[in-house]
Amino acid sequence: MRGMARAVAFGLAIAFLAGACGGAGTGGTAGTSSPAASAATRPKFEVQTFMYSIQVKGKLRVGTQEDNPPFSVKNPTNSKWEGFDTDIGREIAKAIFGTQGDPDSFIEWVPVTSATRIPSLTDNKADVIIKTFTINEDRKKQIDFSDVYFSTGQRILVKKTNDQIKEVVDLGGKTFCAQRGSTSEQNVTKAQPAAKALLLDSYPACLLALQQGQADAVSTDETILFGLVKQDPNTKIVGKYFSDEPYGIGIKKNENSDRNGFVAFLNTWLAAAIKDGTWGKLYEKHITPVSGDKKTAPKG
Amino acid sequence: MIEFRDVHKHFGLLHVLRGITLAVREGEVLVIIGPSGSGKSTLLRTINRLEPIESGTLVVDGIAVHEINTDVNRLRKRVGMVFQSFNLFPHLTAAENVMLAPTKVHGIPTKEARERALALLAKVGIPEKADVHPARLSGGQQQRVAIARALAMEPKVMLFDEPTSALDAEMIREVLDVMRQLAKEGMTMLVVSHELGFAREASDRVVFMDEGRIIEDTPTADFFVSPKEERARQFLSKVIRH
Amino acid sequence: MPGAIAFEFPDLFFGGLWLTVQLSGLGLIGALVLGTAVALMRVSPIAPVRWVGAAYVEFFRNTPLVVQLFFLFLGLPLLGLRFASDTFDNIFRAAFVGMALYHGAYVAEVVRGGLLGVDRGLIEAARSLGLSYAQTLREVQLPQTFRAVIPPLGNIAIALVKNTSLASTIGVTDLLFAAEIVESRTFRAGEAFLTATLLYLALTIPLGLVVNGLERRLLVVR
Repeated sequence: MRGMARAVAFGLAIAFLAGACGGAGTGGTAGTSSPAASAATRPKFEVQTFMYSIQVKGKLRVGTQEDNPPFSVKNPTNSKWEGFDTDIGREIAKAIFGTQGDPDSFIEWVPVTSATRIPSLTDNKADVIIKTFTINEDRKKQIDFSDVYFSTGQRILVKKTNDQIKEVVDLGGKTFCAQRGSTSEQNVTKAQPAAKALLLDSYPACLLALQQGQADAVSTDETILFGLVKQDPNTKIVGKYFSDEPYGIGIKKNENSDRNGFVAFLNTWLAAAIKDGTWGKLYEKHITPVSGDKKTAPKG
Repeated sequence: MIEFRDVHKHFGLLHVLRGITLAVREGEVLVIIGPSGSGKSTLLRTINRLEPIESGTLVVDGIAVHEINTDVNRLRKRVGMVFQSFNLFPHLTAAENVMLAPTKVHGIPTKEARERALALLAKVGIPEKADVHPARLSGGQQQRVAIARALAMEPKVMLFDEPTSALDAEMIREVLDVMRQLAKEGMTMLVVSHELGFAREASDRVVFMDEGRIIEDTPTADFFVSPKEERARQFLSKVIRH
Repeated sequence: MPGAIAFEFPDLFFGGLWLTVQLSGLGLIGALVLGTAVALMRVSPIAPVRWVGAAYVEFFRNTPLVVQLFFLFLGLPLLGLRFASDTFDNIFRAAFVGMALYHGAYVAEVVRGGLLGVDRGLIEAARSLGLSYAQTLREVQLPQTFRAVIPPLGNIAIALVKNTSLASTIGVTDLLFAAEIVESRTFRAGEAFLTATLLYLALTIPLGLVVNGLERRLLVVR
């Protein structure tokens, strides 16, 4: 049993938590296209902008995580990067380099973890971080964010047979499980102070506690809960968001004018991608299979 | 009281008891002498089965010690033993050392056991040390507590395994005095010792052992006048000169 | 002032401290009782009893405490076993059992060493007085053993207090847990963990002094 639990824990941890060790190696694909050949079809940028310097360099360095489905996964069988966040990266590459050719030929993939997201920007190892990166005030002091490109929030996972817990307020007197050191516990306690917190080291452990009836619910970001439901189909996600987790694209602050125009460019691109249905298609491709719903914009 | 018949015992390859036959009557005092390694201590220790025997028969106060299913605790209640190294329980006071077996084995109430312990400590001459731990007692005092401890079980036989060889001359006397007193009172005693003075004065018989055999078993008076065996004679002359 | 944060979150820190004290105290009692019993098994004249004792010691000494705790908390329920129906009672009891089982193995080894170290002459003296094997064990061998093993047992006790912090991994809201929660709420990691450290020291240092005192007193009696 112990071996199994730990194997499950390990597997799930790798799949859903931000602890992967992905420091070394680049996920870039080879293949170059001659800048001269496609120059005619390329968007035009002012010389002093960051987008221009990227065009000249010929590569956009996209930092994302290797094991964060359904947002980013480096497929272990063919080394291809897949997921919502990675396709967002490809769309940005297309907006900079033009739609001709394989967008991956313009991208250098930089594997990051939750902990290395900010340093990889400030140390100039990546140009953009697209990795379920929640915008908050603390982080804004260190880096810049684009507008919200994906919005999620905290919800509740219960057993399929549970019809008592429908919203966070129903957790009064009930035991919910969350990861130690996460904000998830505080969000629940804020919304329902009478809820009892069982705090464990990982969400797979929380899922076990739920399966065994040692916890009545598990609560955290909906995206993580999606993964748990996939793991155990006898569970379901209930309730409305009771915390906001707005994801933004992270970039280095524009110190020394080295990121001129980049935030505005990203926001313009994002608005256009939402308007022309590109965003909705990406949602349907990557998120709908686990969430079951359809969306056309980050909000709503 | 005690009867050995052709008793044998080995320690590994060493044949330590080679056909011991010996009878001790009630009230007799035997002193067992002989060179080291001759089997004296082992002989003594077979009597309360600290050392089980391999062949032959050994009956002590009607109890067949050689039989496997003999109740050793019943046997040991009747046989007191005093060791060379005293072996007092360090965590207990003198009185508690004496009281332990009567209270635990015979179930005598603590109060009564203490009264008897104090009487016994008075008998061995150290009533004032009742509440002192062994570490604070001299060797001679410790050995007298050990004798009182053995007597507390009201044994029929007392075994003394070199009771004075770890003691200084002065202390030897105080211990021997107690033993002499016991002998006078008619206690059956087997004493492994080289205290020939004690043997001469207090014992009825002297048993000389060598290489696992009893070489000589003589009334005390005769032994000191003329040991029959040459080996005993040589040993005796060595011990006396020493 | 170091430790002041404890008074900003008294429920967490002092509640956590109290749980750590309870878990340590109960765990130590459990470990001593269990460890002594297993030590007696290990010196038993009956071979299969010795084997069971040895297997216990080897198993619990050679697997990580965290794994044992997880097994007791999340593994046993898979087999239909649970210490209490209430989740938090169950967690605490699982942690207690884990502490007793794990440290009991160490206590067993120390006590066994002590038992084997008791002067043979004392055992012979006791047996020759007519005390049975069990009486000799209880009245002579164990009291002697405990005097000899007070210092190593003191070390086990201190290790146990520190190891209770692992119980927070199965959700026991102990002192370390308090520090982690306060850290995640305030981002004042340094203060939170320094405070927890001071409170752990407040437990282990007096414990060490008590052990030293006991050792001295017992030495006098020896």
